[in-house]
Amino acid sequence: MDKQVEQQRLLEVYLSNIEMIGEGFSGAFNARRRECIEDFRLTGLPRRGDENYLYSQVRELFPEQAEFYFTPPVWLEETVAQSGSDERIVLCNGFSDGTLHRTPQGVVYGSLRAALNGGAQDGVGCYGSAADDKGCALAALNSAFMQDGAFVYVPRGVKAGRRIVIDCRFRTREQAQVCFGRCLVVAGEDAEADIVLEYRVGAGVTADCVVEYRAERGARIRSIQSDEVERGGALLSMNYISQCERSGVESVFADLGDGFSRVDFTTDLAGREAESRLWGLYLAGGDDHTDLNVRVNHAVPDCRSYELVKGVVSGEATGAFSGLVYVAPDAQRTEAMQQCRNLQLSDGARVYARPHLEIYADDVKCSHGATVGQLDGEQVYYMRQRGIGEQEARRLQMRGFVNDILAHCTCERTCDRLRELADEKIERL
Amino acid sequence: MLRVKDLHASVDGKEILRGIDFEVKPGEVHAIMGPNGSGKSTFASVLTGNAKYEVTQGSVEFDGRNLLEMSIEERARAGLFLGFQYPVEIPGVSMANFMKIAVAERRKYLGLEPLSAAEFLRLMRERASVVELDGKLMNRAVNEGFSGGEKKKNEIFQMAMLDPRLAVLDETDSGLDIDALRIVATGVTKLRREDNATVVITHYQRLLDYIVPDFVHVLYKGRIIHTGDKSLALKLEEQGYDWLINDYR
Ligand SMILES: Nc1ncnc2c1ncn2[C@@H]1O[C@H](COP(=O)(O)OP(=O)(O)OP(=O)(O)O)[C@@H](O)[C@H]1O
Ligand SMILES: [Mg+2]
Repeated sequence: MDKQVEQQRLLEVYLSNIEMIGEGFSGAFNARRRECIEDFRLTGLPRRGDENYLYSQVRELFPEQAEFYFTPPVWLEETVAQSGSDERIVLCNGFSDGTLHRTPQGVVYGSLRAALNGGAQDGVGCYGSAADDKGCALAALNSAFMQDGAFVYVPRGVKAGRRIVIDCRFRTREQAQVCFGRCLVVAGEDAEADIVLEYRVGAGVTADCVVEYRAERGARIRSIQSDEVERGGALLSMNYISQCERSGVESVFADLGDGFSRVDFTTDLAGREAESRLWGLYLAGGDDHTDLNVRVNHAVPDCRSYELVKGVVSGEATGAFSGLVYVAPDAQRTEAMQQCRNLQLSDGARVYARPHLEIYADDVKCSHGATVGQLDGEQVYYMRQRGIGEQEARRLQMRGFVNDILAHCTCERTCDRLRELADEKIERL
Repeated sequence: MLRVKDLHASVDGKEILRGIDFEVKPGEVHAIMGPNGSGKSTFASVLTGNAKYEVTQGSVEFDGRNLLEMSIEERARAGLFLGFQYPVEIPGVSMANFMKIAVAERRKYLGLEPLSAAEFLRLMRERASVVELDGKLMNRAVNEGFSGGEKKKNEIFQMAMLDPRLAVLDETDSGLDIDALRIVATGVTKLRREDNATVVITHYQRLLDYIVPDFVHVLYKGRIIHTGDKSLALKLEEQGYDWLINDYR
């Protein structure tokens, strides 16, 4: 008799607030919510040990006393006012200030709520197409509860000059709170989009976030995602990337926080000659928990995918990586490579690395591998012999290890920020 | 400057150094030779404080301080430099960054002001030229992808940057082509001063044509069994170690 109380509670919260949640959205959109909550009801919250949740217990992130709010938090206005005017979308507990901007080139960015409710024509049709029906209960929950979020659309042939920063902040005073964040990024044919997604999750918050990226034919998307979760906070970040012919998506992901984070990247290579690259990093110390899941689905021939994930895990922390490269029966000439390298700094640290290949085509070049190692004593000795202190030598080595990933940030400002965050985190490891 | 008395050291319970007496004064150059496995690298490692080796007996004094009580980095900051027989690669850590930190530590120890970025760059350029090391290597990770010769040159470059009191160079000549050997050896000679000293560990007298030693020692089975002047190196080159070893037995 394990009828999940957490699930029951979520369903009740949904049902008793259904009007507030759906207010301002079309009937069709709200009908879709009902399908999603039904999906959620059928699937239920994942349990630790479920195939895709071997290392993360997410049920306890939805405690009974957790609050839900269906209106923007009071600190939104002030936060938006302070954030400056460059191309930045600020989301506070998932809510934007409701504005939608249009650049002279036709790039549209801003409130997802506004975009979905008549503010934008192009791109909005992609909403839900990548995330729904993937069998993920947490994404279904998000689709049912979401009320706002961020929207970015780059029209055909446009190379958006500046990066668009999506600044997602979640916080609560005392009470535990569950929040939902949602983003949709669409790059039209041969367009280019540069996105920086910054998550900051405060203690007491469980942030359930879904981001859909859609790259049309020949489009390129570069995204950088940084996660800073405070101790006692939790981020459930699900990224769905759908790629058409000749498109390219490059993602850099860095988990540099101190809390719980479970991050999924699910990529569908649905058009020929599409290419996906991902560089991932997690630094976990103390009792941090970080669990990264990367799935790449090679549905058609001639696509390439590449993932390099690195982790440093110390203290009593958990660092987990699960990767799956799926190659469909006729996806010939697929090239896929998946690598995960970890440094385990203490005996108490738990490192799990499971790269997987599932290949049903015969003409493919695929490789995968995972390593768990320690800091190299010879390197530390060499540095100390040059007068560098032991602690510093260890940190230098860790920075060197991490650098491999952060070097792929194409945005210098973001890259510097991530390096700084990584340095600070390394000092705490 | 360095006074080693009756030094014994072992690794995994096996005694490798079996009573070494050795003294270096400022301005001197010493060469240590000896058959493979006689304990030359071990001696150098014990001086630097490598934790792999356990000192079981004896004393080492360096500029009046008890060297054996100092940590690896303290010894280095105090001016003890080891040119590694096998330099270590450090992925992701650039040469420039590595040297910046190392030089800062050494200067701090000497009570010198930190260098400005421009001064540091100038110093790096100037010292790289001592061993004709390609400046481009400074942007690469430490020793990563360096050729064998570049690695050895890099050791001497680092020595030039850190300006040590005592440099111990472990087979810095091996793996170098004839030109590189000349460059490295003249580089070392250029760094010679009245107030510093060098110990070169080598198998070949060739190196000693450039770095002319005041003393040549032969290490065998963990002891210095013979000490002579530079002519000893020539004799060893011609006759090998047998005559000495037989004598010793
Ligand atoms: N971990 C170990 N356990 C046992 N013996 C060891 C260990 N490490 C080194 N030795 C031994 O110590 C001895 C001295 O080695 P060392 O490297 O100091 O010699 P070396 O004189 O530098 O030789 P080479 O001329 O070949 O460089 C060798 O016989 C070596 O096998
Ligand atoms: Mg040796």
